[in-house]
Amino acid sequence: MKNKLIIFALILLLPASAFAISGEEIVRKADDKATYDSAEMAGEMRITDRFGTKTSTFNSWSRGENESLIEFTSLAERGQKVLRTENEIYLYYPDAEELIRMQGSALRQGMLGSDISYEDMTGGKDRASQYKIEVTGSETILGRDCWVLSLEARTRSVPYPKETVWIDKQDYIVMKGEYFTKSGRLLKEMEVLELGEIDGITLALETKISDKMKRDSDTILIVKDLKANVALDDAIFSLEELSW
Amino acid sequence: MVAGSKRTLASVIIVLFCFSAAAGLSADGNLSLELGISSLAIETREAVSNDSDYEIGDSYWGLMAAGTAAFSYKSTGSKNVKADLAFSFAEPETGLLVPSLDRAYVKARFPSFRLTAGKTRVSWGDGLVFNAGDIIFGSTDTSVDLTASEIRTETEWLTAVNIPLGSFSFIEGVAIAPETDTVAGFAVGSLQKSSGGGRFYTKAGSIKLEGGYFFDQTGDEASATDWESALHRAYVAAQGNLLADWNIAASAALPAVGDAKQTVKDELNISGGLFYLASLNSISSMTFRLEALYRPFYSWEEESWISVSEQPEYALVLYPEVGYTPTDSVSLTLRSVWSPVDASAMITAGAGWNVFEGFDLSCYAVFNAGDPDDSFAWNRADSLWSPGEDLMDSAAVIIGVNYIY
Repeated sequence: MKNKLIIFALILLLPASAFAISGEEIVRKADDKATYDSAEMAGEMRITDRFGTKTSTFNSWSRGENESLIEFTSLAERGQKVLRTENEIYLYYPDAEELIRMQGSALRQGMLGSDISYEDMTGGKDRASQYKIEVTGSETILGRDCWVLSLEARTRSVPYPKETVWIDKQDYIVMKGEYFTKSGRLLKEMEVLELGEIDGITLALETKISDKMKRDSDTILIVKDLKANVALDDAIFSLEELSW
Repeated sequence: MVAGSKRTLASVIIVLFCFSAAAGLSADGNLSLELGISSLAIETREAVSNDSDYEIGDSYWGLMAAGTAAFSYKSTGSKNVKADLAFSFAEPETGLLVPSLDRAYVKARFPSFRLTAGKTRVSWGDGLVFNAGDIIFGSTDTSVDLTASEIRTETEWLTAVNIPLGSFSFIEGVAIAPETDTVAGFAVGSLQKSSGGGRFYTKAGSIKLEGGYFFDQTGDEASATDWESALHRAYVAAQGNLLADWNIAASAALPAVGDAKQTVKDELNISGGLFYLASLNSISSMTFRLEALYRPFYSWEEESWISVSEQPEYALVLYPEVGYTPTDSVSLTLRSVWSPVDASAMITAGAGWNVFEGFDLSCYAVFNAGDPDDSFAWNRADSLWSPGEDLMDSAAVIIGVNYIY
């Protein structure tokens, strides 16, 4: 089976990967659009609350659904790295020369105080079999005509039981998403703030993620550079690279 | 401390030379400064002298301020050479700055191995507070600072070679130069007083395994007869997940010379830990950690406390920790080192708030709960910190700020 990598700027949108007949084709194309066999990316994460904005910058390398390495380059956490494999996460803290292996529930921990968990950042999931999907209408987002799709979880093993996503009809880019509890309470919201083209690929350059459980707080992910479907050395996803 | 100072100076020169070489590859680097300012309020039990404010026997709350500044310069110019130089400065009550060289090392990555030389640490085994696998630096001491962001931070002048054996396996060799003692006339440590060893690290299924050996002379005085207190240390450690993340490690030691019986009893350590993170909702979570240090040949019966240097040590010590993160930038922790044999504990309750980028506020309340002759005593008969000064209860409140820029 061809491995697919979900670039993390769109990871929170991709729960929309299981489809009823009318929605299946839409989301499958969106999935294809947003996934790569491998990718090398430089990005920025801005966490804003009522006290101001905290910025973290990072480089990431990803291959398939289960292999990724993130290195933080901003001052406060410079050199810290996260290596994700299928069932485990390794954290590396350079000052302490410490390598910490985490499994299980620890993968869902929020990363650097953001609205994104390590699992969100580094993990891809086959969500196609996890949701029922229905096309409910059309709306315009950032001047682009989008399908509106409603998703309902088939399984409990998903972070959000209900979702609504807006997918661009031209380039199959997920432009907006709302994520709900089973009872319909809005938990998280995402929206694309800026679309652009890097290396011939149209993608979301700026994505805003707001956790509705928090007041006056949101996270903006910015893609600074992206090289998709590039050959990545096996050694990148190793303890040797992690602890370097 | 005089012993080792000459070795340290020589090592600094060597590493600075290496830094210069690394810098020659590129002048690129990142400088960061970390300032930590704290105020400590501590309760005294009774003053031991009269002054204008207090008479002998009076109790009062004292207040003191302290600060540290840490500089770190990390090279960034080469993909295959890295260097890090980190100093910190503290100003105690004497008013004299006390510098400390925290890290000073160069790493070089070759096609089939990695070389590290300088003042740094290697982390063997697992465990936040208790780690029997840490046979180089030792992570069995119960006198730990639970207000610190990193509990075990010791570094040593060492040379290490790391050889990858696949993506998740490696072997590592470490050599540590001997101490010198200029007072005793030992300008250079004897080669025979060196310490060294190695470890392997691998995965078997979903379980991480590691084990290693270390010929330990780091505790020897330079003037000691060769190998008279040297130890052969070995450890095994494993880590996995079964509902919670777990780890376990065991270490033992044999003397290089002399009777092994007492050494085996003194140095057999077994540590284990459990860690679980529970997400309460999409932004808040709780963490639960429990670590244990078991020393089978230590006492299971409560003993009288003699002095600071002759405290009884018991067979079992526990470290329970509960953490609560209500929002992304706020954390609350309750930590304790607990000695179940004499039913005493050192308890630390803390709160941290990442207010601005690189800027954190923290507050800790620390107190000991135990009788005067327990491992963690509320009010000992003598001063633990400075004999002759006012006696202090084991209660303190620390408020601090930390800024990295």
